[in-house]
Amino acid sequence: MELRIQNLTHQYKAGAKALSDINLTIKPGLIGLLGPNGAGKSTFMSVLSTLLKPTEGQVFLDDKDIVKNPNVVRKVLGYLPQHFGVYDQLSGKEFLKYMAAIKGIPQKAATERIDALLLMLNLYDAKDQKLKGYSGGMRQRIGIAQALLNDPKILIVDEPTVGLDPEERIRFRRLLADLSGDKIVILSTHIVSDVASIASEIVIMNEGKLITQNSPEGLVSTLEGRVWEVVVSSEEAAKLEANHTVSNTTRRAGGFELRVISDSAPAEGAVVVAPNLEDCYLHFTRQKAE
Amino acid sequence: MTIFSITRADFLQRVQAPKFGLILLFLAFLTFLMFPSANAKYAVISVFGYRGLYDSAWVGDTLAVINGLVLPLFAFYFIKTAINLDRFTQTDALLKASGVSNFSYIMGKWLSNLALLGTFVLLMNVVAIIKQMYLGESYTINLFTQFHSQIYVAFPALMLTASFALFFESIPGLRSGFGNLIFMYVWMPLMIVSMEYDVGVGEVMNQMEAAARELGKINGNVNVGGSTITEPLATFVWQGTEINSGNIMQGSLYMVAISIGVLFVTWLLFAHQRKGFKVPNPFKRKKKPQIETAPINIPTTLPPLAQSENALGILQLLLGELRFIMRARGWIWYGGLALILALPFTLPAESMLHVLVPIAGMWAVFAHSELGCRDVIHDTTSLMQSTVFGQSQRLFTSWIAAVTIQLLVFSGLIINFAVTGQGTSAIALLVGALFIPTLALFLGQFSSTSRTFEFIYMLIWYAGPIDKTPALDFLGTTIETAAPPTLTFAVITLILLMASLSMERITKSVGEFGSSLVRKKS
Repeated sequence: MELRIQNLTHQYKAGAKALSDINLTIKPGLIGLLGPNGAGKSTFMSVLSTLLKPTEGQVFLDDKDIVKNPNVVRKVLGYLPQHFGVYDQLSGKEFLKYMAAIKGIPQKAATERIDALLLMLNLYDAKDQKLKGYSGGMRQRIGIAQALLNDPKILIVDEPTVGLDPEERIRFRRLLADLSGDKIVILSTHIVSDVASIASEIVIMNEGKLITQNSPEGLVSTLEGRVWEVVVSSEEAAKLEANHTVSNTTRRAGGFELRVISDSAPAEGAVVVAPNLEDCYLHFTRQKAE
Repeated sequence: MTIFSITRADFLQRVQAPKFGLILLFLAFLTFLMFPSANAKYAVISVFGYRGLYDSAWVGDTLAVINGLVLPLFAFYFIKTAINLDRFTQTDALLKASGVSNFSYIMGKWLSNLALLGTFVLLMNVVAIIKQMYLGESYTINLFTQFHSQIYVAFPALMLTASFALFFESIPGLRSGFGNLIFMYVWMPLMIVSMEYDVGVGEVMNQMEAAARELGKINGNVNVGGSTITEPLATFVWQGTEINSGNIMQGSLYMVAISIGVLFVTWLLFAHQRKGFKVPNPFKRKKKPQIETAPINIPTTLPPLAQSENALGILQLLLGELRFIMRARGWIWYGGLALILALPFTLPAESMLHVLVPIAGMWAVFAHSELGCRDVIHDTTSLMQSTVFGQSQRLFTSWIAAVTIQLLVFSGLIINFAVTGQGTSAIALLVGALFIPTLALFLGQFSSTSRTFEFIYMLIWYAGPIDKTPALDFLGTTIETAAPPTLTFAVITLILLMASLSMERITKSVGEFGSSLVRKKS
């Protein structure tokens, strides 16, 4: 199974080009889609989940064009949008039952699946409570549950960890990693730590364009020997920030400790350190913006 | 300054909504109909077979009467969103944190309501002048004369409407469509009192009647709001309402006083709510406390979905829709349904036709009102549209489910009519069961809000099954005096259903056409 994206462009009627000539092949595994706000991630996800018809280009699931035949992907799709509402007057369990009917899941299979999901997402005891009484985190978990209802072969989740507490975040990350074996899981986020430890591949987007696609290790290796740490005064820190990509700043006794991406030592006393994914993300998105 | 800022922001927010343009168009259309030509077969105000010549005095006073009596019923639906909109957009938390006082907030919202109503009235006056010029009975425009009685008669009524809208938004059980229904039952008696005691609008009508009596020959009754006529109305030059009459001033003062009183109570309620005190909802059962479970023994892996054939196919979707409608109803609704099902077998035939049939026609209105716009209202479009069942299939299934529910509500009556040989009444109800959800589906899709259906349906329901206008009696309650318009409503139902089901395709085609334009341009 693979998703092949060819020359994908989308322009909104207002004139803004949200996606510009994206070419990408996605194979099973967990793909972390990174990019700053406004990079085009949500538009890209909407096209893949067949909510939006692109103005140009094609998307193939194996050899079938999903732009022309959206049901090809809808049968195997689980989708959690960034913003979504629920039917407040239903309980959590009733809402999932309704979603199962909409997704065409047989009732008996749906009942077992719903119970398992409610247990796993820590919602079982609140299953009969109306959704309007759910907290933000509980609503987000109901959203996650509906995305997983049909045991999707392709799971697309847009900023899924918003509203989850740290423990739930860890549990959800682990779940996505478990699911991603023979499935395509696309996780869109601008929180690098959400994908750093679990993604098999990272795609970075900015201003509607694909900047890079690589494994986390591959991405990190591109900055090998180019990430420096240095302690400088506040005036020097300002200068360095103006001329280099600074991925972290920490206040220290003698001034500020900066993590700088640079081909050569950015200042006296700078030492090379091991790069991480956050450095790569900032490097690639800043590079494009510049 | 704060009050003005709140008013301005709220007013701009609401007039910039796409549906506001539709409301203005609808109002302009209604105003155009409000002044029928000499040969028209209907009248909006007829006084003993007369009407005034269309000049500024008559046009202004007609608008004063209509805007004092009927506009509040219509406008209430559209202005009752001031506080809810802030709740929905979560702006209320920002405003609360910004230190805006409760008084400024409520006054700002009230003035915004009033500004919206003023916009409606202004538009109606412009359209009325255009119609006056078009019909040419008088080419003189005197704005002072036209607005004079509107200021004394209609404006206080609109002030009161603006206050009631905020008051209803402050009571949990009255925020929904149910509140709109209740408002109708609050407004009607107020207007009946005004007519009975000749105060406010009642006094304008009283003066019109006196002027018509002086003309000599009396032909027919006094009708306000719309009636059919067989002969053209005779015209006379109306000198305009005598505003200095004590009853006009008395009516205005009553309205203004009630308006201030309602606004004051609303302010108190709102202040209490902001302090954390919640107004108890008399229509709601006690809610169980929110349960947040302790994360103990939570499985970390998910078993695969049991593989089995979906033998029911789209029927399963229908069952899902039925479950959805039924689960969303409360115990009061089910109690009422039980009575509606049981009473036909105990009530005398007359009570059944004139009481139970209209009630049954209203019972499932709020179960249908989200048809065609549910995903917009609940912001679930993105969740629903990425599923295997297409939008058309879902719409059609939700319509079938709604028809099934309406048939269930009517079933006791239909069986009783059929058993007692009243086939025409049974057929009228069958068509009614198709018409109500179809109207909801069409208007929901067209306007993306449940309010349009709630308002238009209630108008038809009030004019037809309650007020016994034969042409609108889609439930056949006037069967003793006239043949019910069952066939007409069956045809209307069919047309609306076809339009609803094609609307999605049309929207899609328009969208694709737009995309192709963008493609060509780029």
